[in-house]
Amino acid sequence: MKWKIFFLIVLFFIMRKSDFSLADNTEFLHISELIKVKKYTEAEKELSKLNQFENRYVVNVISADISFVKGDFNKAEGYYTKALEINPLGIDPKIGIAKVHAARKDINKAKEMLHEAIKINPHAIRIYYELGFILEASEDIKEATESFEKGLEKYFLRK
Amino acid sequence: MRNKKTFLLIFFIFIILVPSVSGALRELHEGTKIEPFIVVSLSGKSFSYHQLSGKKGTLIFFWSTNTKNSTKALEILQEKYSVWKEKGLQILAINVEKQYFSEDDIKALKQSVDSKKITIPVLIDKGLILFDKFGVIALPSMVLIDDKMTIYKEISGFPLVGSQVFFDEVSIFLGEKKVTETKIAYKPAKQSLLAYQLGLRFEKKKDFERAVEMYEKAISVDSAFVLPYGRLFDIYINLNKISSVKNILSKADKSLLKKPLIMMNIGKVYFHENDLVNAKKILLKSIAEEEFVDVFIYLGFISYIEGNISETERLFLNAVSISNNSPEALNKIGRFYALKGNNLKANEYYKKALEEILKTKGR
Repeated sequence: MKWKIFFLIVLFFIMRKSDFSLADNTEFLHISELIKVKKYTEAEKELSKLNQFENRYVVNVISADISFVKGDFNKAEGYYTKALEINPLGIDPKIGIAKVHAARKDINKAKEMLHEAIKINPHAIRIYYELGFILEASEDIKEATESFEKGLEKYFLRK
Repeated sequence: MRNKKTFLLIFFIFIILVPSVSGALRELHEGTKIEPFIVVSLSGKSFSYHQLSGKKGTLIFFWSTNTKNSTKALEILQEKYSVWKEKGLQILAINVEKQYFSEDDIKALKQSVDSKKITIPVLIDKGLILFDKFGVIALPSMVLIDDKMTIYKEISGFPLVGSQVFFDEVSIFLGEKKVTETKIAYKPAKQSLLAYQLGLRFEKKKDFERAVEMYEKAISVDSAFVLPYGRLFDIYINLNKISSVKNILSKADKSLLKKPLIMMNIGKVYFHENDLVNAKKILLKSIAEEEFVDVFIYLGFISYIEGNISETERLFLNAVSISNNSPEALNKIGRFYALKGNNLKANEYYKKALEEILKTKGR
């Protein structure tokens, strides 16, 4: 019996995902797709169908995303911060807050937040993509290249 | 005790299988049997391969609306459809341009298909599972499958000469044309095929040493099987071991050197040795028969070095288009620009590559 439990635990660690990211939750993919095509009302409708308690983290991150694309950066920051309170290791809200800082032209704070996100999950490709974008916007073209290359390296090494 | 042994055995078999469960056919090749699959129609209904396949065979056409050759090829297939269908060949036009189709995407696709009066069944590869399983490397791609679910013939891209040869092969397959000389689809030796597939698995795990071992084994068992050469050359070129590539080429049969895949790699060797004239010559020769993405990329490199920027962009766009915006193609082009010190252009391609990667990850 002890052996069975031991092997089941080993199996669990092999199968579990190592970091929590919305990217791994394909059930919310369709809401992200609606935001991408600017169908905010539909996205909010889909969001309201989710169990608000069970999915507090997701609801806050997606609400933040919607607020961000609508240009309400204060509201976005509020939701991202709430999401971080629920899950301090979540990289999506850290990326979101970085984008808010970048939108407010506070590039240093944006970079700082993304570097924090890298410390939590150095393999998350999206962080390098967003960092590269921010660096490019602040005319650090070569550093942007390096960031993009790091993101791509993570992808090809993982593949 | 017996139960414990059984449990241990099952556990270890599972552990061995888990990493390879996601392994799939990485490249199209003749002679392999396909697994049954599910596709979705534009009306949202799911169909199995068996429900759709033709009596004599099935021609799977992988395509996207944003590659110009896809539209051209689809129209040509539409012209041949009714005749071929009567002879027992079903054509399935599987759209692979998105992982996830919204209602608007389906509407747009329906409109595009209806405007061209396409009656060939148009289907969607949800999640790009088939795209990955078949290892599609260029768009459009055509795969002719016989009634025993074995790949009879395949072609990547829609090259001028190669596509005509492919259609001739289909006609021969259906008995429309007679074979003037023996033209049987090449079936590699079983052991060679097995070694090649093992090589692909090792390559996927980045164990290049073992992958090379397996590909060399595949070649030693069946030296006429082209695909292991292709993978071997790719690994050596990426590791900058050009002399290893030249060594293999020097021992290869002369008839092999005329195969488009081998010609492409010879072109790459010339390029890496700075012999741009011969590189261009042989790459153009290979592209007439088969449109490999790398051929366009390397021709783009050559055009850039020659100072022909507009031609460079045209070739790179072609490569990106037929590769269906593959991150690999975009990354290769980005790296080239970065090496040449053109960081703005490099970033343009890197961003596109990352966007494609993130698209499939959802965020």
